[in-house]
Amino acid sequence: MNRNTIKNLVFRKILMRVLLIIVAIIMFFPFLWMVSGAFKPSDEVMEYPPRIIPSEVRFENFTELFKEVPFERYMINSFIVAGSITLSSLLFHSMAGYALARLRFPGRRFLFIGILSTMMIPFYSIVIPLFIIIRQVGWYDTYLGLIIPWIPHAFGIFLLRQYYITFPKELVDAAVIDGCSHIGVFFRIALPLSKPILAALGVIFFISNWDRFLWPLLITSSAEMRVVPLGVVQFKGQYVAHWNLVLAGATVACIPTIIIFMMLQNFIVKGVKTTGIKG
Amino acid sequence: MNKLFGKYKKQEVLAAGFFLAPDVIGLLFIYVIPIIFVLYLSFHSWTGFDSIKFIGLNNYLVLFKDPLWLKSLRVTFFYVLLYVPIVTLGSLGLAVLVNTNLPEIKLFRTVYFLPIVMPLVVAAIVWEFIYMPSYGFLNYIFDIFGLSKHAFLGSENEALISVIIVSTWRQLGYYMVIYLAGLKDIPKMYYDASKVDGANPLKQFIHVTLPMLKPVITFVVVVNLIFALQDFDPVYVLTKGGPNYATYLQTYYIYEKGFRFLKMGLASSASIILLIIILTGSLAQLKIFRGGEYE
Amino acid sequence: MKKLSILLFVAVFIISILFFGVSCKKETEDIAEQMVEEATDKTEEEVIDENTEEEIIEEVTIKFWKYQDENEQETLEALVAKFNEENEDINVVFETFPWEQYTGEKLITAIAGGMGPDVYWLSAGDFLKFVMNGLVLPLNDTFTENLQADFLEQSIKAVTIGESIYGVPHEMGVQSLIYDKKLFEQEGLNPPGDWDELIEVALKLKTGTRWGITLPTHPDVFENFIWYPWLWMAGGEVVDSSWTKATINESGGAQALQLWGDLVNKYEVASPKGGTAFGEDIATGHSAMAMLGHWVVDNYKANYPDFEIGVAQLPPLTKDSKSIAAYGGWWSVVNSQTEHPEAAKKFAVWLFGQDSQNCIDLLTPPGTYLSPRKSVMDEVVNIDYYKEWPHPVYIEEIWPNTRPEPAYPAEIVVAITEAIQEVLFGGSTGQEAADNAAEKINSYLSGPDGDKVRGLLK
Repeated sequence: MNRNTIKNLVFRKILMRVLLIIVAIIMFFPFLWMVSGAFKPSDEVMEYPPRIIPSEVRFENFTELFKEVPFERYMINSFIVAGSITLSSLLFHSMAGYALARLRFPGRRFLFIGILSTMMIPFYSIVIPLFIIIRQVGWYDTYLGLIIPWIPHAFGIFLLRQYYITFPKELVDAAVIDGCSHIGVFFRIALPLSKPILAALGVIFFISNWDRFLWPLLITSSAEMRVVPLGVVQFKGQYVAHWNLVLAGATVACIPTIIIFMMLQNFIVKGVKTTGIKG
Repeated sequence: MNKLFGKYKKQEVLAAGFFLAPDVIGLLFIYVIPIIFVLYLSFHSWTGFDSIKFIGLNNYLVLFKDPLWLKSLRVTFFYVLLYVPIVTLGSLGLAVLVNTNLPEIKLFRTVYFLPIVMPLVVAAIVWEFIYMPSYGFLNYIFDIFGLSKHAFLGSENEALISVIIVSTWRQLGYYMVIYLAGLKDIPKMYYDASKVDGANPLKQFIHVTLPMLKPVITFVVVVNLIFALQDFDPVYVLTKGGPNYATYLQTYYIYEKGFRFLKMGLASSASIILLIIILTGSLAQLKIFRGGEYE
Repeated sequence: MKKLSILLFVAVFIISILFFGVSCKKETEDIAEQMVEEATDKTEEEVIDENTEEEIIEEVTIKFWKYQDENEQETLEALVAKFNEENEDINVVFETFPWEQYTGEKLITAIAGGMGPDVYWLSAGDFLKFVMNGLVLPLNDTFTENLQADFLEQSIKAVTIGESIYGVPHEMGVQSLIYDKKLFEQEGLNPPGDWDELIEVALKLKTGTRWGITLPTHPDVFENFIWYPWLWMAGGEVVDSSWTKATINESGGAQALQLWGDLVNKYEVASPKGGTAFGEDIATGHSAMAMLGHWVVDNYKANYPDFEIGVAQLPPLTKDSKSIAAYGGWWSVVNSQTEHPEAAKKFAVWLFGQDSQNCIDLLTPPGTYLSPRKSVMDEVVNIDYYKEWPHPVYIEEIWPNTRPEPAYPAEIVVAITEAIQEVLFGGSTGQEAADNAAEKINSYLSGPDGDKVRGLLK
């Protein structure tokens, strides 16, 4: 290598870092603003010119948040709801995806297309009939009303089907020859080997269900059933909002999903790689 | 072999039934039955409280004549037309950017993925402050650079793109990961080969990366198309369809007709039309969903 | 790897337990509820010979809903507790929902889905829509004329349609111009005396980061509510008195719309986005004036101690014409689907229709509203809190020139909202927007729904 190419390489590395940092700032700024707002006194949130570093760091915002509303209760609710949806979706979708990918049965293609087309139904156009169904089975204002409607999801089934299509055939065949039933193959071999993709999808499922706002609002009414996003907007009143409390609540609301993401992020790229979106 | 199962193995069919039952039953109750009810309603007039009256195709006729519906159709079209390419290309760019082995690259990937972790109601509040006319953060930046101030969400011309920026900001990291997985799958030898041919990075990108990524790109486009046509939340939390209907997506039209005007029949017929639009829009691309069937 | 599948199974197991556990609980609840119902049907007769045996008093449970407002929360909780204590046979469950989603999403879906509350708060902007769809139960037999006598005539008129009275009004939120007192003193300015002065003052006080005036820009009923008095001050009305045709495009309407459009577009003194932070702009120094009202006074005192609030009547069209403001408010109404109409009516009327102390509790110390009840206002004016500035301005100067927020069917409400949006953002002139609105209103009034409205209002 001559000096020029080395220079070139160094230059490129620097350029890349600069670019990475610029994009990172743009992507990260709203977080920064949220967190700094969470520590500000109320009137400082709207100050101009905007200040990033609060004039005084108010931890009281957080103590006040938990004192004013049972925010820990909302967190527990959200955990139960998002957690149950995630775990059951992972199980059910891998079962369905496996069947669609590896098992031969009549009407498979038709069923697959049918499942896919439910992905095209806008959720809010079916809210009223869905609400009536949920009420009829007596799940209004219960965890089940919050959980069940979000478990079946065509997109998750599709992703797992794509994954199982690329799943090594030899493994399955060997097991079948050994006298394993199909159900046995799935639970003993296929499912345990799917850990990376399940972790990756789990993160996505958890995050998107942690985020639900309108459905929980409609299907619950008692304060004990409230989930985190509903808790956050509580401080946003008609004319005056306690922005520092809203933002403190928002910051707390982000923590669990960030932790889960950090914990499982190694799986995500690995997991997505195996979904076989390659086509 | 049992006649009922024909060329299929009984045990396999039963296993499939067991595997598929929970999700299929769920989808049936959560999506299929409600959408059949919506289809039924689309030929009726119903406020949600009175008795359901059959009115034939009337709802559809009212819809086609409603200037607001036509406007909303236009808005949806522009939304999709802008949002899908921006997300598709933006996340691809990000993926290429983070597809290096710098020691601190993991930190950057985390930061790029973070926005989706922020609940949407929170994101809406934060962005509203960023966009605030006159004294918002973005206007502060504009001011520093001597640019004139903007109204963003409060301007008929800027509102839609402002909403799209927020949705994009949220989704970019997610699709970046998908692209990244695709990029990592491209065998290194292709790049080595093109290097021998003396290709520069740009040429490499065009001649190696893009063709190899084609399936992933198609996937991202189709998925985004389907979800963008159903998008509702960003508009709901940021602009409420305004100003002057500049962000009045189809979903928002459906929602307002149902919840504000109590015209469940009309809302249902608009839902059915939207469903047809999404179906035809993605049908053309269905091939990629069916791809790679295992026999 | 085995661990994961075990984990999944445990999860499913837990879920199924949850499933059966909860659904069983619900069933027993239903049975219990049924038993309660049957029992309460009897209680009336049985109450008489109560002494015979140790009788367990069966309760009916009724739900009471309103929007979230921390200022009122404690008072209402206390009142509900008091009612529950006084009425052993009724148990009121009090639940609140986010302000923005309360009437639209929450109430409507819940009622349409048959899970609505028994008693709820409703505002004038949505009143007619709810009544026209038969969602509100008349209160005539419980909210008797005797009780009504203590209320202002126009407040009773606002909740009465035909022969039926549908709600118990409990607050009047009077509009006014709010201004930054310190700023006005510093600049040696007086609050504007007419529309021209309004523009003049706003232009004078506008800076790079401070608006001259804030007005609501979100397309909703609140925007209409704030706009109506400007229409009235210019001499306009939305429809004629017999509800046969729109008059919004005759005198006044175009002028009032033009003013709002000009404030935003021509003079650029009003923020085109007064959404989330509407009402806060002024308290944080980002606006010199705001179209708000009495209800913010206490909020500002509590949350922005540095801000000195200035209150003035809305500027009239010219110096010689009259200033008019609207007052809004919420009413307690009973859901027509309630399974316990008697208990629900009893609570709705008890809350703010009988003992005036309940109303006083609500108005002091927090909520800054006036009461539609004469006996309450007579007492309130003697409370020190209401003697403090600026409350007397509202009571003495602004209140005498107010009109209640008018109730229109949803279609008319939206036609007006659309007209405002057109002038604010669509570049229409006041006249164009008013004509468009009139066209929509006329086509509504000449249709079958028009007859329905006229029939109701007769």
